Amino acid sequence: MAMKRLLLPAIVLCAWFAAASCRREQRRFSEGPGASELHPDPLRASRSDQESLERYAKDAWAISEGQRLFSQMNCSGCHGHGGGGAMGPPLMDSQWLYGSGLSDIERTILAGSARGMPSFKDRLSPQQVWQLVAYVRSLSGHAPSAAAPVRDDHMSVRPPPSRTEPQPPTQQQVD
Amino acid sequence: MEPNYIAGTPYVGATVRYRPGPGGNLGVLTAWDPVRATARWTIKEPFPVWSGALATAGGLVFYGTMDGWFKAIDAKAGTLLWKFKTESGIISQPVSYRGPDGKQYIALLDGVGGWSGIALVAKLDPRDQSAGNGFAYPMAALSNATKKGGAVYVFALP
Repeated sequence: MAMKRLLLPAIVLCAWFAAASCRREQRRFSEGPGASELHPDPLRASRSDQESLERYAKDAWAISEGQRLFSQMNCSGCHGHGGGGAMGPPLMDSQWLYGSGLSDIERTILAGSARGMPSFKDRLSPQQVWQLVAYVRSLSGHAPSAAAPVRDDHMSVRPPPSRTEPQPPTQQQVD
Repeated sequence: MEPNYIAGTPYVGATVRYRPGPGGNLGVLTAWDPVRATARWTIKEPFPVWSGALATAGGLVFYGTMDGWFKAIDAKAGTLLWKFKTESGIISQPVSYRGPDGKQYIALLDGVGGWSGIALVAKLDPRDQSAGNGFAYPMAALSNATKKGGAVYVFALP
């Protein structure tokens, strides 16, 4: 009899756990309340480009969006899924060919390079470019620890940016 | 993974990692007995054998390794007869020819590169195990074993 009385609550509890686990790994990839603060209308923005770049580089959500764009825009095909490089140069080390500053990275994404990188100017909004810049900076360990990604969205191939020591940037000659 | 077709970028819907097989070596040279359809002898190499093999009528097999060893093997026994260290790694096809003096020569081009050599040539970061489409990580030791370069070597057979 005691068993029967426990049966219904047990079923309810199991169903609740099952339903809750569906949402456990769900991550929000849309702008929530308060996000408009992070995405000012570019036409009415009072902030300069540089200010936006610096705000995005410190923002966990922006870096996470940049991580998604990094694979979606095929950046990973040339620069490696963790930024270790392939046809394109590595992005997780200390060596930079076209400047390591936020605006340098933005310019390279917008204009491409003479050595094969295409321009992404017409494929991304200014906000998406800033998100990508924020993620690229995090690859070499330069994101604040509170904002740096702690894991990949897919198969892990490298220690996450949160466990990457900051690599001091050095300028390399394009040969 | 969400690959997109974007002109001028690679369309690859996979994250790739490579590991050495059983034994820990990345390469092996195998001599096949075509009649019995079995392997006659094998030589394990630490790196992939990216060069071609050259078999001569005199019973020699020549091949090069990515860490820069040019080797002559006894074609029947599979034993190492001679080896020579080149400046850079070898990924080319050795050729044999008869010179104007009537003697037999072996010519070889060294100069490491290709997909498996990209970690060394382009200074990729092996902390990312998918760097170089997965080849940088197992080939990380190549950077200490050889260097970039390129030269033609010609050897005279005795």
